[in-house]
Parts: sequence; structure tokens; C-alpha cells
Amino acid sequence: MATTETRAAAVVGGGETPAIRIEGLTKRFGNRAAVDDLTLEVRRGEVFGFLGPNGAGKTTTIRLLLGLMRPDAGTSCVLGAQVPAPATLPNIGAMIEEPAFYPWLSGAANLRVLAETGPRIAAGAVDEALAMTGLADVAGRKVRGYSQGMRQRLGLAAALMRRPGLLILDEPANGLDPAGIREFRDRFRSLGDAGVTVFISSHLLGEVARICDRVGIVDRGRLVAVGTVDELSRRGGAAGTTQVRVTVRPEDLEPAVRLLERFAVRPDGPGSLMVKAASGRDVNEALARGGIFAEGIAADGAGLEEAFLALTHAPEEGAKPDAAARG
Amino acid sequence: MRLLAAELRKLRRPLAVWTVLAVVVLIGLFAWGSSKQASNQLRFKRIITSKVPTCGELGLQPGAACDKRLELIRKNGERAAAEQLADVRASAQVLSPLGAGRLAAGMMASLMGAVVLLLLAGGHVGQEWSGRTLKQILVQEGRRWRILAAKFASLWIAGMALIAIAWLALAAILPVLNAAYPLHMPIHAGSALAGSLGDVARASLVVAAFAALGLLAAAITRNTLGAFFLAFAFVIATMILAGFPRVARFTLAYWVAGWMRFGQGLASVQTHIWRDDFYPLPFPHTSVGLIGLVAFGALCAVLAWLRFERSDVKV
Repeated sequence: MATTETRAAAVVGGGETPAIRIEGLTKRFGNRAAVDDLTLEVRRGEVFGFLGPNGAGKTTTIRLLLGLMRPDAGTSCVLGAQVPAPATLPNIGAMIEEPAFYPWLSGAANLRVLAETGPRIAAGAVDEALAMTGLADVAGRKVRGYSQGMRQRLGLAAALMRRPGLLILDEPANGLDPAGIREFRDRFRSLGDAGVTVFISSHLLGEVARICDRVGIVDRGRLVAVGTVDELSRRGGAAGTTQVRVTVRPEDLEPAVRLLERFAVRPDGPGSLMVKAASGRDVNEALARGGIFAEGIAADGAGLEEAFLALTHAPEEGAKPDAAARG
Repeated sequence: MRLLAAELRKLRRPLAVWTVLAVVVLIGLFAWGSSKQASNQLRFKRIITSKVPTCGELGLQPGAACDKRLELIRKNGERAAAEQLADVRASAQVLSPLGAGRLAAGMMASLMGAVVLLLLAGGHVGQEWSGRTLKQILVQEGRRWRILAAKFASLWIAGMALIAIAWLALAAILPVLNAAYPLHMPIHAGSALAGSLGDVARASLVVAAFAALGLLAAAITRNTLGAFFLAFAFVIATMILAGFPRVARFTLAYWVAGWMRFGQGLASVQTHIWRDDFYPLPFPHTSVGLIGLVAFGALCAVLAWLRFERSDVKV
């Protein structure tokens, strides 16, 4: 069961209807609870990271939110409507795991089929979504010839073509190259800045740390923590520390290590150090006192990683990640 | 309508193209065989009317007894020839471009149509699960009954389109076959067309029943091959069960035969591949076929809807 503290943190309060409200949601597959009494709220306009190890129940939660599965107990509301809420679906863009398409149709034809499946969309919305996801040049090609990254982009285009108010994304960066990951990250952040609520499930903690306003961590179907990245990172550090990546000129590397001795410091590639400190400011100050000016200082999100590892269990041996959910 | 358009767009796929080609080739072969058979029948009719034995060949002395016997043989020959002629005349109607709709409708309302529609259902419905595209659809349109209804309607339209395509193909092939195997029979265009349209209209109900069966099989098995094999096994089972008088009345085979009037007349042209003999039961009345098919189709559709509506989408 979720602790009272976690429950309280998960529910945001306030006058405006949350974009997502989940109360006591439970879904069982046989004896195993894939989602266990999950309670959570996601505010409108925030970018919310939904983290958890394989088999934690992330995908099942998303399927429950989208009405693809029926819960055994509990309720969920999206954009103020109780699930299943077919009428609100046009205002939700969703991408669940690896998106699948009709391989004999082109990328554009796939989107048109999906557009015709639901309520009418604005003229040109399909082309706009294809352009937005960098697929305009290959839109006429059959999907069977698409790489995994291109399919992932097409999945995002499908989620975006209705210009939704809520985006629900399950591992959207799967199969993308680093440039693609960065592009997606920037896209989600800018959508969030534009007022779109983004609910994003991911394994890439660094990416989540960079773009999410708040993060929820689930383990074995239960919500174990929720808060801002900073809050969770501090919890991960256990002593109020965070991971700071420092980049210095190669000739400054050794003196920098000496200056940062009072923190836990370790080399992290050429000209780069990973430092455990209360904040980036402390590190900057220590270096400046010794006359070294860093090329770059950034909170790495590794504190979040530690929080994640501390709060979650490794998947059970032999258990397939989200096996039941994936059917 | 937009949802139906989406489903029809999805049907424009290699499986559908190969299916159309297979139907055209098979139905063309049937037309060829039927033309050849009708031509042979005509030749046989000429033989039996032209060949009357002599008294010597009969081992009889010329006289009253032989004359009586020859008269009997002549009458029997004339009757057989008249029957053959009627068959050939009926065959000629079916083997005309306007009458070929009966062949197209009969084939699509029997085993050939069942195989084709169940294959399409496997690909068009079952593959939404095995291809993991179902989730994509359901996040666009959450009312599952609408998805199912559009699937059913698109399958039915595909079946009817196949009848039209097969008819058109026959209309193109038959003049060539008629030239190769001339029957020299007058064709009554009006009655040939009316017969075709009547059979096509009746076949529309059978196509709907096959589509509903395919839909149910796909909803149960949730994959392409499983849907096809389950439904096809059902069709074969119903043909076998129709051979048992106690259960025959309750089989799809019985209802289809009754509704389509399979095996009634047109003995020399094979217009269907289906059981049409239910001895010792009488041949089913058309109304029995109608009621049976409507009930069967409705039951399949309702079961498919219940199954689909209540199932978790895990793909």
C-alpha cells in the first residue's frame, strides 16, 4: 500500500481539475497485482515523469488511463472525465510502447487512417504532424521500410496530430539515436511550456530529470515517491547531496580534483568529473576559490538515479517486464 | 462513414489483391469447366436423338413388336434429349455475361466465398491484435462497437465487391469460352440478368453471415491465422454435421443451401461448392435458410461484440 505521506504528495489539490487523477487504481493478472492501489494526480500543464523498473506497472497504468484495460478496483479521470472516456480521447495524444502501424501503407496513409478513425481533425494537421516529427520527406514511403526510430517518430506524429491537451507517452525515446532523444526532449519540454500536459513514462532518468516538473516513481504497482526532480534527488542523496557533472580544461583536471576533495569526486571521462555535493553552486565556489573556472557545471540527475535505485526493487528473477501487460 | 472509409483504406493491401486474383482465376476455371461440360452435353443430346437402333440390332423380327419397341426407344431418347436440352439451355443462360452473376454469387456464397472472407477477416480483424495496431485505433476511437461495426461493414463490402469483380471477370472471359464451346442457344437477357441479380441479392446475406463468423473468430483468437483456422474449421464442421439428419437442420450448411437454393435446377453448371443434398431430410425451404442465416449472423455479431467490449487490450 502507498504510504499516507506518498498519497498526500501525489494529490496536488487546488481548484482546477487535474489533467489526470488516479484513485486506488488496481489491476491484477492472476495473483500478481500489476497496479496496486495507485493514487496520483498530474496537474494541468505540467510535464510529469512516470518512472519505475521493468514490470513496475507503468504500461498497465497507461493502458488503464486510456481505457484499453479495465481496472479491478479504483478509478481514474483524464481531463475531468472518468475513464473509459471515449469523448475525451480526441484531446489526448497517446503513444504506447513501440507504436505499431500498417506496414503496407505509407507513413502519411497510416496517419490518415488513424485520423479517420476518430473525430475529424483540422485540415493539414497530418502534414503538420509529419513535418513536426521530421518525417515529411519519408511520408510517402511504406512503413515496412521505416527504421525503429522512424516508427517512433510516426507514433509521436500520431499522438500530436489532434493537437491534444494531454500527451501520454510510454517510453517515447525507445529506438531513437542521441540526436533524436534530444529532439524529443526539447519537443516535450516546449509542449509543456505551451500548456500541454505531458505524462511521460521512461527509463531514461537523465532525460526525465531534464524535462519533468515532477516525477512519480512506481515499484511493483505501487507509487513509492512523488515530487520534483530536486526533491527526489535530495532523497536519493540521503545526505542532501546531488550529482554534479563538472567539465574543466584537461590541464585543470588534477588541481580541480584536489580542490573538490572534500566532496566525493571521481573522474568521468576526459576533462569531466562527477561530484557529490549539496548543489552545483558549492562546487563552483570551491573551484573558483582555487582559481579554476569550470567549462560547465550541471546537475546530472544521478541523484534521481540513486533515489530511483533506493526506492525500487530490481525486477524479480525470471519475471518478464510488464509481461502480463504486453500480452 | 469516416471510420468505414478508414477500414476500407486498410483493406487495400497485398492480401486483398492476391485474394481477388485467386477468386478470378478459380472462377474462370469453373466457367471453363462448365462451358466444356455443357458443350459435351449438347453433343450427347445429338447422339441420343440421331441414333435409333434397327430391329436386327435389337434381335427382333420386323413387325408390330419391333415397331412398338422402337417407338418406346424413340420416345425415351426424345425425353432424355429434351432434358439435356433444357440443361444446356439453362447452362447457356448462366454462361452468358449477364447470367454469370449467378456463378459469381453462388461461388462467393459457398465454400470459396467462406475461405476468402475468413482469410480477409483474419487479416483485417485478427491482425489488429497480432500486428499490435489495435491500441492505436482504440486511442483514437474508444467506442469499441463502432470499430467492430466498421470492420463488419468493410468485410461485407469487400465480399460484395468480390462478387462484382468475379462477375465482371466472367463477363470478359465468357465470350471467349462461348466461342470455343458454342452452345447455339438463345439467351434471354432479361431473365439472365434477373436471375443473376436475385442470386447476388441472396448472396449478400450469406456474405454477411461469413463476415460475422470471421469477426467472431478474430475476436476469440485475437490473431490472423487463428481467426482463419477457427472459422474455417467451423465451416467444415457444419458441412460434415449437415450429413447427420438429427442435427442437419441446425447447421450453417443447411441454411445456406436453403437460402441460396443450391442444387435446385441447373444440374449441368456447378454454381457453388457446398453441400446441397440432405437426404433423408427434404431440401430446406428458403424461409428456413433466411431465418437460420439471420439468427446465425446476429449471434456471431453479438458474441464478437461481447468478447471485444470486455477484453483488455494487452498488445
